[in-house]
Amino acid sequence: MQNNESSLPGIDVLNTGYGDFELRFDPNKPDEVQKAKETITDMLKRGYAIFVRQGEETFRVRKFDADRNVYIIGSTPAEEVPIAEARATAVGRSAGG
Amino acid sequence: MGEESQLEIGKDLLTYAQASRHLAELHFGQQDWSGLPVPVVGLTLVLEPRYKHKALSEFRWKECYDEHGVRHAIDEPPPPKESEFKTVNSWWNARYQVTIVVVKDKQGRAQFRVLFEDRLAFTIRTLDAALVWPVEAEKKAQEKLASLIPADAFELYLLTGHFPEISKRSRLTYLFRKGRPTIALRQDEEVNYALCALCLHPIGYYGDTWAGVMCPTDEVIAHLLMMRGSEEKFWANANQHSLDHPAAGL
Repeated sequence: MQNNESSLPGIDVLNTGYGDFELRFDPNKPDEVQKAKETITDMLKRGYAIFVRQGEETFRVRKFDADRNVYIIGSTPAEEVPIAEARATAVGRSAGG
Repeated sequence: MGEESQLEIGKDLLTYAQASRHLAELHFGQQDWSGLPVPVVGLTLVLEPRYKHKALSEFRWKECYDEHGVRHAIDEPPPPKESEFKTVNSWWNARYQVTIVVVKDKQGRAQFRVLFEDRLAFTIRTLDAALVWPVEAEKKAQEKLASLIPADAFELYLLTGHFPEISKRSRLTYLFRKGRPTIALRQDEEVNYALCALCLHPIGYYGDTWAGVMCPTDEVIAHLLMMRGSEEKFWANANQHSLDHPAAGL
């Protein structure tokens, strides 16, 4: 995955040192797609909240389908967002306050 | 002099903010996607219990260097004495602006204590914690926020440090604030009242401050996205402070 390729899809991660760390991947490069899939899977496993925008709405990603490369944001097929079409934002687990 | 004079400021000797950036760079390859929290002398670092580097909350700095590169030892705080009392309950008393704590001794006899919360001390400790936020990180976070909210709301944020947004789901109004908890309000034609202050920090925060381990606008983004995408989780994960409590930051 690359940093700061602003036209590409990917994930922005809220980060202590960077403010917002941009992870981008080229959907036409299989190795970058594979790396993106691994990153998304790892983030969800570690409890990160991932948010995607669809139209005017923001949704929290419930699951990630690594076989079909889609974020699942609801329970119907219409509630899926392909990772190649999304710029998601990831937030680490909350410590309360 | 010998060894210390070889240490280079900005390379071997880093500020808190430089250390924060440096740690984030070093650990990105190890799937530390959010970077690493930096402990601050004199402040309690509170981390999410399942966080990979939870042990950082026990870390204590042993030395520091001034702007001339001269080393200063940092005394270790004395270990806390084992108390014969156990806290069984506590609550905020709005009338007297104090926290009442009920404790029990080993024989089970109850007593109460009164804790005074000092708003100015809260502010000063927050300034200490702010040293860990790289200014570049805050600027980057502001760019991100600008892409998420309408231009007029972002201008308001730049000018005042806060902006409102109404939840499409609950119709509650949220007042997102830089470096302070988010205020939830019920506003419509019939009623207009504030509910509480919602305090939530991704990864961790510094105890008895308003500061999280991430720069303030990152926390605003986290609150905003959680409100928009998972409002019930926002309420469930945030601490709900009474508006007259110092932690609410009003």
